[in-house]
Amino acid sequence: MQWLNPMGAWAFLALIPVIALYLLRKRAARVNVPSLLLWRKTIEQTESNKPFEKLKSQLLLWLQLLLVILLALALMRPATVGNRYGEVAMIFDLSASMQTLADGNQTRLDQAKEEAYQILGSMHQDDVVTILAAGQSFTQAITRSSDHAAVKRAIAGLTAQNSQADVEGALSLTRAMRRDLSSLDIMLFTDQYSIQATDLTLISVGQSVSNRSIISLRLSEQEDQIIAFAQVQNRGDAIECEMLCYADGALCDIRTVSLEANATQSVRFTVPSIATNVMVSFSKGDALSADDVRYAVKQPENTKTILLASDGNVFLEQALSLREGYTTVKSLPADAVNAADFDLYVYDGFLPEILPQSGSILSIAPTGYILGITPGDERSDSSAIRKSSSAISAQLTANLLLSDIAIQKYMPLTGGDSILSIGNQTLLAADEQNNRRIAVLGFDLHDSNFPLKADFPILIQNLLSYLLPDTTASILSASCGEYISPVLDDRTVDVSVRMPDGQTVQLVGGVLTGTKQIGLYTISETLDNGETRATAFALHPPLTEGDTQTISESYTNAADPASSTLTTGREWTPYLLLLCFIVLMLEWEVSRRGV
Amino acid sequence: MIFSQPSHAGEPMLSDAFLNRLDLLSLRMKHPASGGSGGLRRSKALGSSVEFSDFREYAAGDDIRRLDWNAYARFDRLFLKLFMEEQEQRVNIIVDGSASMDFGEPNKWESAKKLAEMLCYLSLCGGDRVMLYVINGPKIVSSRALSGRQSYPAASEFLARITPSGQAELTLPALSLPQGRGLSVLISDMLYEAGYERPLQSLLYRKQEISVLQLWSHEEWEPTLDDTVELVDSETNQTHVVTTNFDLLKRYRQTAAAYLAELQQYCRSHAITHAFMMPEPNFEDQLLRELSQLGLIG
Repeated sequence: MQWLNPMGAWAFLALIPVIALYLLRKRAARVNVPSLLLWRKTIEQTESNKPFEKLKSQLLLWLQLLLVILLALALMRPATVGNRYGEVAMIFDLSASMQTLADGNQTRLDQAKEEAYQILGSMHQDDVVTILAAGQSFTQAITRSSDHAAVKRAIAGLTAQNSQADVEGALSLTRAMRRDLSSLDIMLFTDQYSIQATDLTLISVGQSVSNRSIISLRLSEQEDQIIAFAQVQNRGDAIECEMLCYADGALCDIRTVSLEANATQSVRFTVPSIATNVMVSFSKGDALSADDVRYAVKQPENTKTILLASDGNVFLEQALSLREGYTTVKSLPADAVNAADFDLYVYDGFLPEILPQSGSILSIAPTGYILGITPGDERSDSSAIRKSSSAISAQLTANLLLSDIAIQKYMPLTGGDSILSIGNQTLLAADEQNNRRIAVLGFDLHDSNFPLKADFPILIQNLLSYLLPDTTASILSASCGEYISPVLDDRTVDVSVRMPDGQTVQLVGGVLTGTKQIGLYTISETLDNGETRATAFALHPPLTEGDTQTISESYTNAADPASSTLTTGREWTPYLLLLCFIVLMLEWEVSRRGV
Repeated sequence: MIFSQPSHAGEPMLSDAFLNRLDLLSLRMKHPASGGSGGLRRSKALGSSVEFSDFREYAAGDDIRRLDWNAYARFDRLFLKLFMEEQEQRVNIIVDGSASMDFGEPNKWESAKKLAEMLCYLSLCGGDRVMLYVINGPKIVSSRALSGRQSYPAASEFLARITPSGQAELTLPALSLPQGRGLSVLISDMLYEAGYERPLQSLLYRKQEISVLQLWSHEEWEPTLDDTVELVDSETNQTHVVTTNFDLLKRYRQTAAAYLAELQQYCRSHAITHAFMMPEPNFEDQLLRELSQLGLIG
């Protein structure tokens, strides 16, 4: 037995006025009677025959005292203890799917909270509780507290996010805690966690419900209009629903769609060509509203320019022209000495004495030191070309086979990150300095069969993606809750982000962290020449969160037989209140009868 | 009978109309008068009343005026006619004048005085000699011997002077009753701390025909107290705090009924006439009704 609200014991002080009133009431009125003879006989007879008669005569007082005691006990909220935990870590899944309505207006997270409250109520008052909120990243809402009221407040303060939940991270932390606290019970409140772990108790919430999701929205510019293609996934029975399309906040198209059961289908909307952003949503909500809306932004035409300084290299020229939207300017090396204001300079077997102040550089067979990368003396090596192990190498060598490539001679490179290597020497290096990116290829393409290989255009495209990063390309695949690191122009001096709710925040350290909101974000860059650039993008919950039909099953910690039966305690307050009511009725009856 | 306007102190309790009704009634006694002066009640003694009793032969010295000359003519012998002797009865009216009698509505003391006056009037009209005793605290106040109807105002005046006070202690030696048989009527609530048995036994020992007329107020029989009260004994000023409730009041009534039943049983077993009365607003009618049923008047 424990008291959930020990402060209720103050109510026992109410006994004092009850007794005081009774004692004051005992100053009885004096009543003259002819003789006490019969009264004495009556009282003597009563007391001799019934030892408890004195108590009975004060029945009203005893009932009042009992009522006060019962009320005080009810205020103290007595409860029998269920399982004795000792040390508990509760992990709450705060992923977007926890927003799913489970029962009426109650979300899965609300259900999880109710479950947690029940367990908390059944705990011994000395049990220590840690609350971990697993959102996109996990945080400790409260750490090792035996103040259950504070724990309850911490639980109440949890809100589901629009992101995935880093449950594994939270589990890792609690497992690390268990190394010091061997008796630590781990409880995971979630709707979707499929891994059967033996060291935790999974409390599943929610039920399998139908849900419609808009999983993508693409804009296609046509002659005088924009066509928006929305992909709708229906997890549930066939249904007919109405979809709305807004262009720059104004309703522009409505479609009634018949969605087949458990199928994905496209819906096409017509949008005015002047629209810069489009939003598509369902007219009526469903179990999960977070995936009922989708935004898309019309990206401005890419205006980036590439200077190709070469005596002539058809393969390179062709490879650079594969990517649409870029303007490639060809130039002889002599003409390219003072060239400026290009986004990328490609120097093929040539290097100007003075490098341009801005822009990325791709140097092929450089003639000297360039931004931290130094070519060595020419040499030959018949070894196979390999991918290096650096992190950036994986990005730049994606999809390369690197087979049957022969190089007549090359210059081993020092400095930067090695991308491709031959033997122990670096063949391709990349580096970033002061927001300027550079890649150096240590051999002349004319001395190799590499341009004839399929790997060549792939490598060039990979290098272009690296050297001419698209601000939005890096964030198009991002979801709510993720840390966004937009690739900024190296001339940018100030960056701010306008959030979906209209707030504007400065981008500190090049990372946008507060991305919980669904909607349009706008990155505003101010360049050193005063020019401003605005890049809009949209964030949505991860697509996996729209699956409201898959529900994990609850299981208990099989490794700990003591907790295999999760018995919750019982709070006795309602029974005490019922007793109070009965005593009150009894008192009323006694008072009415004058007994 | 209409009496002259007496002083306030001696104003008769009984109305003239009621006295007129009483004139038609008399006080009934079980036993004949004995030992008193000449009166109107039959006695065991032979005397000079008009009621024939017996014959006996003349003896020297007998009053020749009582000779039955007709019998002498028939039998040629002298016979003397004997007649019943009518004597007065001694009636002792003992009234409880303790503080406990000054209670209730109608007031017990006022009712007791009415009852005493009524009995006194009936006795006086019946040619009896009446003595009034009032137990008034530690002392017992008695009137002079009253006889004759004209003594009724004196009886009223005597009773009017008394104010109920003190604790009732019925001790017979203090009564100083006259010797001989008689009727003793005790008007009281019979609530004696020391018990009622010994005084009644003393009266019986003095060959008194006893009638106990017990007066209680309605509040005594069925008190209407509420909550916790401090009861004060009107005679001793002793107090007792009780928390009255339905149950206690019920048990009080049971105790009172048992006390009354015990007294009635005692009276029956000792040939004592007992009447229990709770004065009603029309007490005079109640008296006539109850005492007639009891056979005390008729």
